[in-house]
Amino acid sequence: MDTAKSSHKYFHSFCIRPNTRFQTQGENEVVIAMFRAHPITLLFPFLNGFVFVLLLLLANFYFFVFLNVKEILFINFFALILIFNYYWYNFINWYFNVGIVTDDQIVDVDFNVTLYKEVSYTQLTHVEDVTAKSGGYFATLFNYGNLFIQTAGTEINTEFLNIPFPSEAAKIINELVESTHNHG
Amino acid sequence: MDNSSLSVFMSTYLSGPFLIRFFYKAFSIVSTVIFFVYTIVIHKQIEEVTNTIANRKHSILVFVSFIQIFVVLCLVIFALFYL
Repeated sequence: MDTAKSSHKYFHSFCIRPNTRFQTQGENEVVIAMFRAHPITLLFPFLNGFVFVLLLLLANFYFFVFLNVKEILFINFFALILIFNYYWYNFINWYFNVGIVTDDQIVDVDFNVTLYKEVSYTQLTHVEDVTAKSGGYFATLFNYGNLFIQTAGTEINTEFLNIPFPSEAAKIINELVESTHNHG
Repeated sequence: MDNSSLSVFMSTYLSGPFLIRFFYKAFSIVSTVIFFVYTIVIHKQIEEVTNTIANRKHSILVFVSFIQIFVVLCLVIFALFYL
């Protein structure tokens, strides 16, 4: 894969040379690639939300006959906002759980809207091994999988989960690690 | 309070429909307020993470989360004064 040209695949889940910066990025540091989970992983939350909408419609027909107009309006409005929030929560979790590969380091952003935010940085010189794993019906069908980056010593190992083209991503990182070792 | 006014009070405020309305309103207010706090948390988290990873499109996300706070605030007001 050509890492010199900018390209975006699967709703920006596999980006080469993206127009993205991060907080601790050095002045001359270049973002080579950015990975997110494959957008198909959002399918199940999307279907869940659709079921919630159907349940709300059913509730309108069967249960709300006992309530007045204001109460029905309130419940419907509140339920729709909750459903929208469910979609929003899942989208934000997907959007901000990214892995960034630069010419100097690998940044893993693990983000959960309400619970925590964890950003781990791994220098390319510390990378020992990169493993791409893919398994399961959907993963094989849509070509996504997990990428495990092992580091030397007691440093935290980095992992990018459910990213598209995991072997391509491993290849990009391996090439960068190799060039870093050669230059360093 | 004499017996007749007590019985009027009990029949008015401890009757089934009044209690149902009371609990309905209390539940609505509490749940919308909790949800309001939750949307503020989401907004703060999004602001925080957009500082960590910067992109031109991120202002849209912050704007949508802000709109959500505004809509939920409207719900809180609705639950407080119009329900």
